[in-house]
Amino acid sequence: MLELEDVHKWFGNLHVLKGISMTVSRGEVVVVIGRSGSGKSTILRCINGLEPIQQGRIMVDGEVVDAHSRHVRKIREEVGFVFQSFNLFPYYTALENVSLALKIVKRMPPAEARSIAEEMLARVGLSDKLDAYPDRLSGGQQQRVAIARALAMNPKLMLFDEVTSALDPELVGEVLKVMQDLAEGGMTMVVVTHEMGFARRVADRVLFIHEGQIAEEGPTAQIFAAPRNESLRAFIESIL
Amino acid sequence: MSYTFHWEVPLQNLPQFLWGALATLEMSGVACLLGLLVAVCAALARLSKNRFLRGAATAYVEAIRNTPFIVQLFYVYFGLVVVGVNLEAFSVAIITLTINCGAYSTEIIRAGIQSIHRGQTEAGLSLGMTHWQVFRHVILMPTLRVVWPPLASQFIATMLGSSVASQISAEELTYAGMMLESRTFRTFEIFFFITILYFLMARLFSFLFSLTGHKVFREAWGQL
Amino acid sequence: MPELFVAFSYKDVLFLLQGALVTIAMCAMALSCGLVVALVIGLIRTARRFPALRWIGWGYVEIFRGTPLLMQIFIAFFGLSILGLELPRFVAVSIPLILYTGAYMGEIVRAGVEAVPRGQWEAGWSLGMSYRQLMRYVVAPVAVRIMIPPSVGFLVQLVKGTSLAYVVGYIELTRAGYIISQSTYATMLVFTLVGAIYFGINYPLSLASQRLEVRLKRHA
Repeated sequence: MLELEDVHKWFGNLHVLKGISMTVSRGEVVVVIGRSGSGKSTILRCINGLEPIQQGRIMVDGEVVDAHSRHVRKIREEVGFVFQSFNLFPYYTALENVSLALKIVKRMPPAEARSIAEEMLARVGLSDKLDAYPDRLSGGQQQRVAIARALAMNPKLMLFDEVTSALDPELVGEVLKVMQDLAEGGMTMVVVTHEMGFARRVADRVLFIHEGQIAEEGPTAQIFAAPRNESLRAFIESIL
Repeated sequence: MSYTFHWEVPLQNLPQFLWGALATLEMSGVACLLGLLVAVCAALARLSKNRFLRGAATAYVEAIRNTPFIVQLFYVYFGLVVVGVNLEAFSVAIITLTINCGAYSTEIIRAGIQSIHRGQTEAGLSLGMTHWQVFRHVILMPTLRVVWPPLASQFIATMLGSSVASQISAEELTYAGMMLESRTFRTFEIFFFITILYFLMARLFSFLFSLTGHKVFREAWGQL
Repeated sequence: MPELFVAFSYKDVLFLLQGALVTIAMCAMALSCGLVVALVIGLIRTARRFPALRWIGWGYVEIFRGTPLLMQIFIAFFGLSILGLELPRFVAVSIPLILYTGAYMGEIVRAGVEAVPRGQWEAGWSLGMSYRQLMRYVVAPVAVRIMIPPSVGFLVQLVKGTSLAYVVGYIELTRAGYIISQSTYATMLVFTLVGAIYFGINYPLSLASQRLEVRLKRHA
């Protein structure tokens, strides 16, 4: 489904990703953990072409991701991305936020787009907030709208970039629940997060990124029970 | 196009233009300095607790900012004639330009003063600084740093605006062009050349202001 | 002062008001065409893929903001007659104003577009939107709202700028006032009226611009 081959990325002179190689199979939930600045968010942003890579290859369902090409747009229709800062469109209601891309990118007739949007918002538990503008919604609600917006495009792969890090603690749970439901429904997901509880409950595999490289990876239980890497051990201890 | 350009006309008369440019610089320089003084007073007036002072300053600023400079110029020029004062055009231009620049600069300075958070003054006093020390280090320098770029832009705009003074026959760069034009009729070449002179002067001053700003304030600087 | 009321009648006031109408018409012309120019200039200045375009836009703005409007009017006016173009005076005088508007509004457009948070762009890209779709549905709603207060502020500048059409003899409000003052000798009264009319047009705009700015900050 998703393949990264020896991906390198530089920000100017800073070598941020140093040879990342990973595969994600259909239906897998992979959680990426690591310290701030380790490059974990960057990996995600390279996958859907928000950031270009200088070396290596990224393939989504057999198609190469080239951030500079026009073709990347097609790939983005199939890859959903949820941001840490939600990035909802401020002058559209929740419903309009979710249906906008359906109408203009997938060229759906308005009625069909609307019904899909309503369905998505129901799935994330916001049927009563269809006509609310983002500034009237709590952080957790906004993030759920953002998830609905990405989901509405019927993606093959969903990418989550620290989606709960900007939320007040009491709002984190509602978002994680939505993500767990998604995972149990068979969605292929790559999740960058600090929420270790979520990782332990939901992830199939965990990747630990340290200084731009995959320092350790493996099945969830093993990673948390018996971490081999020194830095990983220290990291887990500092979190838990 | 049956017009033949005579570019030698402006070039041959370069000395006149340079004198004109110097006059423009003198006119705008004096106006900006005096205008700054006016602006500081008016800005303080606008921030004062006295309703009359505040109202007067606001009326001044709004009246000038909402009317064209050329109208202000005529007003002062003919107004002085009516009350019997006989000043040469150059001085009239300076006076009007001062009033004009002063009004715009007032807003810049007022905004600069207000941008200094009251908390900073309180912090300074709590650290044991005297009022004078607070004024000098917490208010004055930061305010200057904040107002420097917009003030520099305003001064350059004033210099460009001084070209209108030619309409009351004040002897500056544009007027020099008009005089030459009435003799040689090479309107386009002359004014094209003069425009280039204005442009160069504006760029030069933009650069100088920026440079001074860097040296005096010694910090990461934005564009002018 | 006795000369204040010499030969000054309501006909002169009418003449002034006609001049005011011309002023407003010039503004409308400059604004409508200038906005098109401004959109082009503003957008090419944000084009990341074509540095050459960015420099052209930058140059255009620098020229029109770094030279006196008076000179721009002179050059455009006499330049047009050199090119042999026989344009109606209204158009000939409006052209430099259009270019002037294009430069200043172009800067406002650029600032407006650049003020849209990058996250909005990324959200749009992630949903598979093209540049055009992004600009139209995501950037425009936000940028336009940001641009409104400074645009109204520029309108005030434009109204004042039309007064310089005086120098090519075009009859707008200022020239009208000058003509009357020459024929009636009621100079101070005339120019006070002229100033008052300009003030009457501009002050509401200035107030509106300030209020809009406050409202925008509150909603951000």
